[in-house]
Amino acid sequence: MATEPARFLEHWLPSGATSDPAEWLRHHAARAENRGALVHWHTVPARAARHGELSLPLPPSLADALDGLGAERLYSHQVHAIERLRAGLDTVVVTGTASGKSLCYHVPVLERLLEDPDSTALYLFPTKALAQDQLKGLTRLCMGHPALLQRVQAGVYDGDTAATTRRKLRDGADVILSNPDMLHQGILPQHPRWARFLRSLRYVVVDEMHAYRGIFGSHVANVLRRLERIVAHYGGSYRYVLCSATIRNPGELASALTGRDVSVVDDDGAPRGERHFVFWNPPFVDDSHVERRSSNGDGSALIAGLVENGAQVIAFTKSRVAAELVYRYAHERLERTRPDLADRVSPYRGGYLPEDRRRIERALFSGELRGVVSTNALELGIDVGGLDAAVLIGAPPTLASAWQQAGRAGRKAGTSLAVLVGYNETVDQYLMRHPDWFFGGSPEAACVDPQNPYILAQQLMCAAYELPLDPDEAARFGPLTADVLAALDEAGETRTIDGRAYWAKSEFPAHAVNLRAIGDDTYTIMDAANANAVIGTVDAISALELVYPDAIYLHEGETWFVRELDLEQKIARVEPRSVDYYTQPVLDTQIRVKDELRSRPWGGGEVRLGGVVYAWQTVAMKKIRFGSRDAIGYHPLDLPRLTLDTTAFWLAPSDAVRAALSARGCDPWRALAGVRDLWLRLLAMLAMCDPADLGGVLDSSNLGRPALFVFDRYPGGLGFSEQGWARLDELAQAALDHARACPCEDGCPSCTGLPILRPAQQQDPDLMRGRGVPSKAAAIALLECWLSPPVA
Amino acid sequence: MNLPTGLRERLGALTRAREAGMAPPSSASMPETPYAPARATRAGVEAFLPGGEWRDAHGAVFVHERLRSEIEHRRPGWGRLEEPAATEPLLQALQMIGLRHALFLDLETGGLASSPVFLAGTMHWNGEDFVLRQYFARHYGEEAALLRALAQQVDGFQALVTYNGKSYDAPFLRARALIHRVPLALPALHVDLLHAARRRWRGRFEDCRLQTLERHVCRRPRRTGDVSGDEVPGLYHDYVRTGDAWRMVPVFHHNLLDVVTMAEVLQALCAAAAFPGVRPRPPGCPARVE
Repeated sequence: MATEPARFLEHWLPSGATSDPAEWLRHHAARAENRGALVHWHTVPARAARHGELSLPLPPSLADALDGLGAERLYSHQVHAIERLRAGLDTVVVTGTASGKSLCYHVPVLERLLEDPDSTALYLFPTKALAQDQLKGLTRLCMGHPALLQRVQAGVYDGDTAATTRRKLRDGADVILSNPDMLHQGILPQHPRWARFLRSLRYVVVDEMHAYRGIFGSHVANVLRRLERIVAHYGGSYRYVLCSATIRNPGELASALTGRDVSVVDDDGAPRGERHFVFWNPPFVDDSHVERRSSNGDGSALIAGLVENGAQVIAFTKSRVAAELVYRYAHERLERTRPDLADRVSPYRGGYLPEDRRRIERALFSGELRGVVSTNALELGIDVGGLDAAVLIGAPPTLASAWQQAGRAGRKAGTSLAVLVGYNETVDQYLMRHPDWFFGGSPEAACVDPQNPYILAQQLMCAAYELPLDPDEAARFGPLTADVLAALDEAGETRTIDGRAYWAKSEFPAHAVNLRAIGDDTYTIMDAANANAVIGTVDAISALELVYPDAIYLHEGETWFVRELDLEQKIARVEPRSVDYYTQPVLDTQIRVKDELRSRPWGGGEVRLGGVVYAWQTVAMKKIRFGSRDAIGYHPLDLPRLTLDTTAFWLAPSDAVRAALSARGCDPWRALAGVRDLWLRLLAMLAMCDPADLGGVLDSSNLGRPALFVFDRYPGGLGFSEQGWARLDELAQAALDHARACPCEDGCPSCTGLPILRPAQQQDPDLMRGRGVPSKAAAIALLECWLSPPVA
Repeated sequence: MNLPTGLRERLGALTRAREAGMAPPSSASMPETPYAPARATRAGVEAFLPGGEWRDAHGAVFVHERLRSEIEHRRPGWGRLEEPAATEPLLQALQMIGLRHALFLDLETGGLASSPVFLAGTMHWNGEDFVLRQYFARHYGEEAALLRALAQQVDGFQALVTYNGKSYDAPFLRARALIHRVPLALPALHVDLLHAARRRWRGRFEDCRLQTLERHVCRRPRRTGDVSGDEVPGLYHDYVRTGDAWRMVPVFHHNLLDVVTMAEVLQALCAAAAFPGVRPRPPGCPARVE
């Protein structure tokens, strides 16, 4: 295996640089044209490392290997984690990025492997790329001593693993690195072939635990219970080691995922240089104070300036298009000012080929690449080293994400900088005015509900297929197990005989169960001018927003014209074209009632529950000139509509309620928008899902009057909107209490200003005109009317 | 996954009951009803295929047994194996041990990696006749007993004879044995006729599937009304659900024919000249290397 390049910071440092990014930013902000942009500056002082000592020393081979990596002394949190695992406690480690988190699991695992020749370990990551990355880390560590090299056979086992390698790993690997989807479909259903590995399993590592939330997390929690059950069948037992970014409730999430009590280690002892957090709000274009300068433009100027000044920069953007645009602008700037550095910046996002992504990651790690402009694809864990500066162009939808992204900047010593550049829209402008909301707020809690009956049913089918279910399984899968199994029996999926539930169909259940809400259909993007060479991929949903016919598709900063989109073959044919504009899709969304299941009186009217079809479609395209953002063309398009068949509840304010709102000077649409945001946030808490698992739209085409629809973002629904319908009194009261108690004046991201929820919106955020936060007063008025309906 | 409507409704009811804080609709314990076919008056498989039970302290499995001479005219050479070519060491070992010590085996299963084995067809030569014994799990709960019964029988033999058993039947049995915690030791000598058949007949017929050899080597007519391999799992699940034993009759028959054909193929492989249409290898011709 090739060795990883060491960091060559001094070698690559451009001449004449000061390499203090904060200093440079102060100068930059002081320039006349940037006056007023710098709206907040927050400094966190440096902190020294806190080390610890293990009560019992490590085996010499392992200690030597750590020395070789430069980790002779362990940080406090690493020591705590190792000691707790040695004591047999399931443990979750919650520390920042670049804190040596992976040693918290590599060390206990290797120690056990050395002690016990019959032990194995399983590492789980939410993505395949992370597994590959950690395999490199593990290999690097083992290469530090021959005893480790000899003892440890490790490999990645996932969808990309070749057939012959799969067999070798099954038969002989000590450490398997994989992901929950593979565990669910490719390992557990085949468990007799894994008997050797499973009976000796001693550690299961769950990295990036905070990714397992909402629907995905609920499924994964059950997959882990299936694993535990099967390992117990072979007479084994194991400990969990989980690693998480900062969320509000790491211990709770870890327990919900594993079904066990988990001890929390969060005493981060890693050293940190001085860190600066800066908010940058692009100034108004003119005295009318309506339009602001392009945030993409300002962001790219920051990136280019920092790079020119010798810093290594990572920038995060909110969409793939934005990543391409910001990169392009930064590249253009550098070509004018420092052409020697222009090629040392790169974009990065999903849709690039894996080998291109690996190349960029390596160059970033080695220091050769001075700047990368990414989507949140680089937010999760891949080790790119600590960087000098992070530029967040647009606030990410959650505080936890924002801290993750900002945390990519930060070396062990020396100053680092994180800059948040606001877009001229709702949430960002609120943040620019209220930085304390950002710094004072605690990160979101992550929610899972493994007992969701729809999810539990699917998972129990898979479990029954693996091993007939015994009566004592109820304890493992929860108190609803017996009822869900009875339902499965009645439906003929399983058959219970003498108390044991058997899988009763000839289909393979795990194949039809998708752990993630979105499907994984992918389009291939081919260069028609170059023998149809594959240049990238795009998921099926984004394809209709990025590579529709006649679109200008941006890839690694270059402009490509889309000649053809083949919907059947799932191919987009593009050719390079040099143009001075890019395109933006115009989306039309629609919701249509399919059938009504239930209805009851509420709020002076009726609230209904039923099946809906939520549809969206690219209906036209706009041409936008680079830089100036001038719209230079508008063309209708004829593309298929995408649909989501799901469950929703809906209601419309009655005439009497509308009249009452008018009397109070409130607009019903704005009121509904505010209530929508409140209900989505609070329903997620009630139904124990993630806000991203829900959708809410205002529509008047179905009922002939403005109505609010709340639906589950999952085909067929998962019972969330059902619960909303059943508990609407509770939901409305909670929303009213929350809005009244919120200290903001007129609405804020915590109450009526929920950030945009729709995932993967492939738009340029620079073009969106802020709608303003929905009025809190109007939302309160509407809720009051509904809870005490006025007499007509 | 598209859940069926009825199931969806019940899950919906559970969702609503749960959130209302109510006790779940049904009792808190697992369904306790012992297995009963859909209509108790329906006849079981024994109405079509006479047999008894193999039973131990943990359970029972249905066993159907008959002699090959009851269903076929005895042919000369039954029970006799000629000396096979030196290029087939496994066949030679088998011939030296003697046919009495070999067990023919063919499984019918749910088809997928973790699906159950529900019919194990076996046959052995008792010195005078071939004894066919088929173990049948009348429901999912009898699979463990089937494995135990099979383990007991297999224990008395020194060689196992299968068709594609190395890749399929043997690993399948081991996997199911692991699931049900049944100690199972297959004989060290496992003759998988597929490999020798390929070496002998590759290129002579359209393929080397067992039914192809049945037609060309054993000279039997094409099977009519037989079930295809794909249909078998569905038939079994239907039978367990409905109790309609007649669904299983063709499966038993299919299994029986497979096992009998295996015995004939074995004979053909051991003897170059015994069967017409089988071209013997000229002496001195090197064996093909696979």
